[in-house]
Amino acid sequence: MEQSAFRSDDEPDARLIARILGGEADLYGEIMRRYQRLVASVIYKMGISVDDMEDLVSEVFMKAYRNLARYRPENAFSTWIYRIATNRALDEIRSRRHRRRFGPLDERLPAPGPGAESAVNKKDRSAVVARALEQLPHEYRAPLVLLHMEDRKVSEIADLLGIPEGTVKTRLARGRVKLRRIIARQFPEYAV
Amino acid sequence: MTCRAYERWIEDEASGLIAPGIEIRLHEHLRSCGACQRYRERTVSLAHLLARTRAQVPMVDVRERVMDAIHAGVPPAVARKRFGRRALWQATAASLFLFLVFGVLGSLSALLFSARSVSSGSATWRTLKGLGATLWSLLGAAGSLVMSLLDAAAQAAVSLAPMLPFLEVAALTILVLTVCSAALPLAREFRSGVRPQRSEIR
Repeated sequence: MEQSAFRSDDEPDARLIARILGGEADLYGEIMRRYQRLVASVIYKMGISVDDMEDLVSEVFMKAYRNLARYRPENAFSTWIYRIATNRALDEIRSRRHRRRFGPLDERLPAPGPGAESAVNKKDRSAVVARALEQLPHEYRAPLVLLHMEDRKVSEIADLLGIPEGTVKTRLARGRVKLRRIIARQFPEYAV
Repeated sequence: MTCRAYERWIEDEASGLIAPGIEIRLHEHLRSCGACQRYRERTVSLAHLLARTRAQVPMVDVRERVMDAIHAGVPPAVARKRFGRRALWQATAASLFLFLVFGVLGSLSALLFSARSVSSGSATWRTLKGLGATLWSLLGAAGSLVMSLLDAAAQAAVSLAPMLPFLEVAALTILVLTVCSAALPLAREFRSGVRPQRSEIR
């Protein structure tokens, strides 16, 4: 088993997956080594806290493992796992909203309100945006994160989120306006 | 063309969707319009801010954890959701409570059916009516129990969260139907002024 894991380093994803499905479950570790950074990236950028990130990344890989037989080798594995990660992050955001339980995005930031902006120095500008993003409804947050933070094209975002491109465009424009409003209201010092 | 239309082009530009010909026209307009220039600066500035936000992704290595779960045949999500488990217990308790309430209501209505039927109809007909009422109330109660448990499971497993509204509507429908089915015979009895006597019930 050790030997096959060693040999798997430069093996294409599709072949590796075929071997996993054939019974060599240990090779899944190699798949995780290749893609856990990608999965962690999308989950983190969607606004999931560091504390929850590991749980969610594990869940994404478990879900992918359970559904590995559904993966079609003609598509890139990265796209497939990326879609699972995006949907899982969105589920988490939705369920948090449902439970009305918001975890702090960045503990360094003071609670929003009068005077809060003065406690935030300029180095925390991106933390301010992160906090504002957290307050943005998920339907606006996801396209903004995928476009600006994950460098995905509008067509890819539409495919990932399962919505028409026109809707993505509208949500991007509205999302920017809402994000600007949140920043202007809570952190006027950093208004854009 | 109004500035509102140019703003849409600025948004398209920020989304990487602007055609080269349109981009030239937009920049021609920007040279002469201060308001649109400011709008574009704000849009570009926000895009840059977003790109820098959370650029440093913390390292995670879940290989050991996932492989352990795979070998054990237990997905990690089962052990993870403390909140989910609490919700599951709460919802289960609520389901059992509902089951008991509907069970009592159902039995009561079945009892009244049987009592009322003593004075009219054949013995077989009376038995059938009583059985029908009992079965109906039990079905309603069981349905409410199943739906509440499904709802609880959906709360516990986040992946089922999108199903939650449908489950809630279904559970609510079953509850309303059960309440109506149990309450109607009672209401009928009270309206007609007929009260079952102890001797009749026996």
